[in-house]
Amino acid sequence: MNEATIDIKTNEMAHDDHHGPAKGITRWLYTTNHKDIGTLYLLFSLLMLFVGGAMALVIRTELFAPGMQITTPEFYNQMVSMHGLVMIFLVIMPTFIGLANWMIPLMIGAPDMALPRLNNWSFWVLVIASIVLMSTFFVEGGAPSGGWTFYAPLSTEYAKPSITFMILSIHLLGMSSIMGALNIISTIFNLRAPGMGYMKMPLFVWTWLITAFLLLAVMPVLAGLVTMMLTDIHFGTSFFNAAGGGDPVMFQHLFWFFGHPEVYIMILPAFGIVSMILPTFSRKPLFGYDSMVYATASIAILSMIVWAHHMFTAGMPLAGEIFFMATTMIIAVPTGVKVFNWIATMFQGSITFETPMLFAIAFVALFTIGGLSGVMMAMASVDIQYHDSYFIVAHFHYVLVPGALFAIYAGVYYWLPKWTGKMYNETLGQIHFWLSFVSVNLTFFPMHFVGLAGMPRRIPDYSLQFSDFNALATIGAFAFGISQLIFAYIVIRAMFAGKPATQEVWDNPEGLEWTIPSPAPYHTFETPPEVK
Amino acid sequence: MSIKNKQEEQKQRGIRRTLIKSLIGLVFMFGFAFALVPIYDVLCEVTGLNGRSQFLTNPVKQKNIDKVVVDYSRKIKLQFDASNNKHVPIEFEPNQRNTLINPGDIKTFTYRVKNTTGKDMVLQAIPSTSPNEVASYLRKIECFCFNQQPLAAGEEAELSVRLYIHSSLPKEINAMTLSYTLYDITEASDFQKISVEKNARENDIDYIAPEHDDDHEHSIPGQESKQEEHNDDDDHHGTGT
Repeated sequence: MNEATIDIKTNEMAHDDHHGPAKGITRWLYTTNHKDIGTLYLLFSLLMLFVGGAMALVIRTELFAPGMQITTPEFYNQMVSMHGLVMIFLVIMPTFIGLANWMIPLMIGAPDMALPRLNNWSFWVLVIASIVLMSTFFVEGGAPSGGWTFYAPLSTEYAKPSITFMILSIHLLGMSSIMGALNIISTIFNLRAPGMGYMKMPLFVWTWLITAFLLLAVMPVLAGLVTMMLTDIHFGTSFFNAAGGGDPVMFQHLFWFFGHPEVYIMILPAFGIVSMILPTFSRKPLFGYDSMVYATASIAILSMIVWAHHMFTAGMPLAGEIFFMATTMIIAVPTGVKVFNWIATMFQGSITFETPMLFAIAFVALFTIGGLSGVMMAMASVDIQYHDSYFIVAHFHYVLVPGALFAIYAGVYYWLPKWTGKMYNETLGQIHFWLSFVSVNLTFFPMHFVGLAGMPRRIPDYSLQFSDFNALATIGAFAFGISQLIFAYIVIRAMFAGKPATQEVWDNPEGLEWTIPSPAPYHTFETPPEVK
Repeated sequence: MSIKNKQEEQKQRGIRRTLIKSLIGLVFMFGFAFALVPIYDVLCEVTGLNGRSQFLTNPVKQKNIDKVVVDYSRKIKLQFDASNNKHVPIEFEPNQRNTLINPGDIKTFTYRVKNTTGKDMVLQAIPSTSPNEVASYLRKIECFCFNQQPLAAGEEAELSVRLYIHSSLPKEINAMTLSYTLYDITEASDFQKISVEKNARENDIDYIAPEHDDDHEHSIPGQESKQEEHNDDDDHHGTGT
């Protein structure tokens, strides 16, 4: 970069200092401000949470009683597939990117993200991708119905027209995530305040750095995979077609090579959030900071070599089963390190139970349940029984709902006063927590039992003996769904009204984000803070 | 101000460097996804994963056939299986359900296939074995699966496979299944051309064998010759274990 452009750049920046956000809709369309983009991401994924949640309620209504209730099997399959795609790609991942946008520059003392224009683009590409994905409902034949895993040959040879739209959407979603990851890596590597060494970075920053690398490593593989699907469907290639020398099982290998790191992409930032919140409300520093960093890194590395534990029933040599079983179980070690560190952080602390803390504690307890059922399924011999049953559904919902989603709630309650400058309604927050906590367990715990008893997933009907547990799960699901309306109300209300928040908000929290006023000014850390 | 400029410049340079490195990684991983396709094929060969082996889909070389020794000490139960992909309207079944065969004994088996539709079809059979790891011990001299098979409307035909079981087959295996799945590839193929090729092949008129017949041993250099060298000793050299 030559001198002239730098001058223009600094001039622009100086110019920016003199006014706040632009007015009207163009502020949001053209914004390159990390706080604006973070807000956009968070509100977008809140909206999508209700879209995906509505699909979940259609599924649960159908499963309230045996026999067909409100859907056709075809539509039920569309609901199951789209619920998965929406929740993963349009809710959990964008929320974490939104949190990263808001918090990473504040936490490391940077004025903005490193690549602000890319940042804007990554959000709006996400919106376009979601429109393309939703449009599949109006395509002849309906939305994708081969599951969120869109296995071959279901989604290649038997592909309906909407699969092509789904592929386009996944390409766009991948681009969006990759741009987000590039931005986060560039920001963390280059824009840390003087004195903030890597081992001084808050854990949310650390977990996101590692997550961003996982994204860079596996999103291109997903892009390659859907490209192969596209050419198989439209251009006569045979990547997954046995008649032409391909192999449908290879689809599963490629998919899970992306898919398994993907589940850690959805949980590592949650680890980071919880590691920020527990120390604040325990009034103790985090126990074992270094080991937390190393544990996160080892989980990420291990996550790249365990993918075939999703495929124990697809046929695999004994050596393969043993390898993938062992590596999968090894992941429980660094994860255990983290769980024990969190418990040790709380141990003998003077704990108060504000809403963020409640969600964080619930995260530790319930995520551990999901983690332990994961270890059960890691055993190749018993996985044959668990495979494609409701036990799996129970497992991954435990790690994603009271896992990732609860951590997101914890983070939102924790930082919301910093974003809006207003305290949220603590009583409503507590009500939201307890309703969510009870109903999430009511929804997903019975699924363990029906799964072990043999109820298959992705089937709209079931045998009579599963009726009671399914009815309970449906009641829980509706209670959970309605409770989330309270959350939406709390967040939206805190945007406009409420007790003004102090600069520190909580009792002596740690981190640079608490050294700036609440609400966070439009421009922060123009001059980098000194970190001792 | 100039110090600030310099810092800003350094930051921008750093960002650019990070970005370039990340983009290289990105392109590498995208390429890696496609590289996984051949890697997967090789891995399947080596590990017997998915019951894939070059021996299932390629003929054995004559010089290796000459060296085959029959192992009269044991008999293997060889079972035959046939299935149609996607309910292709074709009758397809083995003429013998199972047989007992000595390792090294070269035998011919047949399948019956009938086109029950009113249109000409081109078919491709894809072999697989159970258990998976026997795939590399089943050696084929001829197989209908090596070629696309034309089948005129209403035509009935006999398809043959000539094979032997390699005598190094692990002792604990005493039964195996050879299965064929029939695919309808009429759309992707050319019935006329395939028919002419088939006639030429059967009447040996100026027939030039398809490339893979000669070239397959180069696909994994040295593998076959190495295996066959151990033909006589009882070395446990199977790739599938």
